[in-house]
Amino acid sequence: MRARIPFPLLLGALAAAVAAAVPLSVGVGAVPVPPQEVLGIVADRLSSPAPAASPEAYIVWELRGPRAVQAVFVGAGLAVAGAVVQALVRNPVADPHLLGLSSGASTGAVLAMAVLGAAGPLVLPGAAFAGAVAAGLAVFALARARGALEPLRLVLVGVAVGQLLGGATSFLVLRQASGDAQQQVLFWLLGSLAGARWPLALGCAAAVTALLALLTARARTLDALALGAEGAAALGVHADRARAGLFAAAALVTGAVVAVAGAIGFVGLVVPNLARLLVGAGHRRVLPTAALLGALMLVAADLGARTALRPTELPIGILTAVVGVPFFVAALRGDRAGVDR
Amino acid sequence: MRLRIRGLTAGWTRVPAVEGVDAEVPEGALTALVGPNGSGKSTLLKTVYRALRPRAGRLLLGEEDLLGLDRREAARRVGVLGQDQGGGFDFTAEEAVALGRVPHTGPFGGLGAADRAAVAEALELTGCAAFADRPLSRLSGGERQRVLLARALAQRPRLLVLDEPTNHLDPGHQFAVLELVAGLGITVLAALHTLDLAAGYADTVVAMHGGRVAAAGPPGEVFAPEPLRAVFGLEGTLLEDPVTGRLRLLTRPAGPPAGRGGSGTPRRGGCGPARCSGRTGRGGPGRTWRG
Repeated sequence: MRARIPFPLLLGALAAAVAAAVPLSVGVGAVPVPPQEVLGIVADRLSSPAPAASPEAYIVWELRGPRAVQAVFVGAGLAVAGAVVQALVRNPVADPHLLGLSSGASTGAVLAMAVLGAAGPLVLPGAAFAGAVAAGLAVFALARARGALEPLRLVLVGVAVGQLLGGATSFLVLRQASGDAQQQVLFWLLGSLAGARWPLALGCAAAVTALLALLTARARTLDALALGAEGAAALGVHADRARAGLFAAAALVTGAVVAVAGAIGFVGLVVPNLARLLVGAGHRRVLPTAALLGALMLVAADLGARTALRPTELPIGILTAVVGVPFFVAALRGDRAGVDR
Repeated sequence: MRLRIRGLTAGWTRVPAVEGVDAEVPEGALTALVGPNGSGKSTLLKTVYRALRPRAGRLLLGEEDLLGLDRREAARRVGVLGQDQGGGFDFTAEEAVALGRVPHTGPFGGLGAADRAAVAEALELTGCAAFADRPLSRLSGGERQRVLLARALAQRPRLLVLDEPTNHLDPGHQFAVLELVAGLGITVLAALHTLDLAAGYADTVVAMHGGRVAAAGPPGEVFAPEPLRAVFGLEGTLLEDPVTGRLRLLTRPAGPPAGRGGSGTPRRGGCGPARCSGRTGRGGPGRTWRG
């Protein structure tokens, strides 16, 4: 499986697949738009800022376009955050939601609803982001003991803080007892790309791109951390400092993603492992591969979520799990059977 | 490059595991660090490769203050084969060895021609080139240990630190690792549990006991009956290997000083659990393991 395809070729193929999947996905829906027309609308829109002339243009540019772009960066962000968290805790079954960040996002959003009401399009994502970052800070502060950030402690504290915040969220929802609030909570818990708009999609894209570049530059540090604190020290990497920085970056990526799309599960857990099956354990290859695979997976999952039970839309988390798990199990079994690794 | 350890005190708990250690690691020679479990060998090595900050003391590598160097700079000078470097990620042998270049690479971690050459040379020297593409999970214990040694060599160190490099290896691989290391001609500081190997391959032996240096010098001196009894609670006989000419050390449990023949007297029939039980005080130097 591995070393058959040269790495640059694999990366190019994945990038091409993402680039092709986006216009295809944008074209599919209740109002189908052929891919050429999608590209034409996008080109028109980029050359002149005039508002949409046709219903198709409105659907493509205002509704499905931001949604597909958001799917790309949410998928890439979750996959990269997952790879980083897995290296931090030295365990390939870790996941960005394990560290309490997503629970913090839902608590933040629900708290904002309880206090402010639905006060504008940016309030809830802003509160969700703040909640994720606050949860990250709390986990970090509680997990740190005598200057060291032990992987096991980090996971235990993350799970505990996540449970606490989950309880707080449930309490806030019960106090509100309005159907709208419960709908909102479901959005944060299962994740969704519905309601994506350009400002948030672009904000998420900018944050994910910047942090992805930063993390890829630190890929060797991630490799060294996989050897544990002493192994890292032997290579000149101060494990505690490196873990603190990488944890902060992972928390910001997760926060940026969860703030716009809720806690979409499974991508952060599985995509890094798929990437490792393809390109090995070195993070210089794992991170870009995981980002592209995550983007591809989420664009496909979102397409499925929109179209599988039309006109009803499924929560995307259901799709990532139902499609992703069998695929992942098959990949694992193929690997164990000894496919040239 | 020679290492001088001066007044080193270090440890994780309030009671230091290493206290006031002075030792010399001569240039181009293999120095073996020996001592019973818990005598402070690993702690001492960890301060040398900067995994633990000492509470007091200095480490001079050549004329440089090792503890005053930036971590990356230190890691360019000191290569390490440590214990437990697993983790849940399955690097190939070559990827694992390339990690030795981490302290040498720039901010984006790309490998240049010099890095690739160092990795290839380390793979070649340790005989790992044949399985460079195999993941570590598919290697035997001996192969994996050679990969870890190759990583330390890929650091192109001036001082090579080995923490129990022969652990979990069969006798053939134990000899192979030490033959390889001794033949490199670089300065090596190695913690060894097998005293016979230390006697055969070390130029200098530093014996630790209770966090302090109990004896230091050539193997013939440190493994003389007196220091051997004081440090390990063992009786021993030094011999010259008739084939290789290397020193060999035969060890046997020591009884309590009284109630037995003179030191070094051979005992017949060995020391079965039934015969040894109760002969030695708990925690004494001649303690036997009874589970």
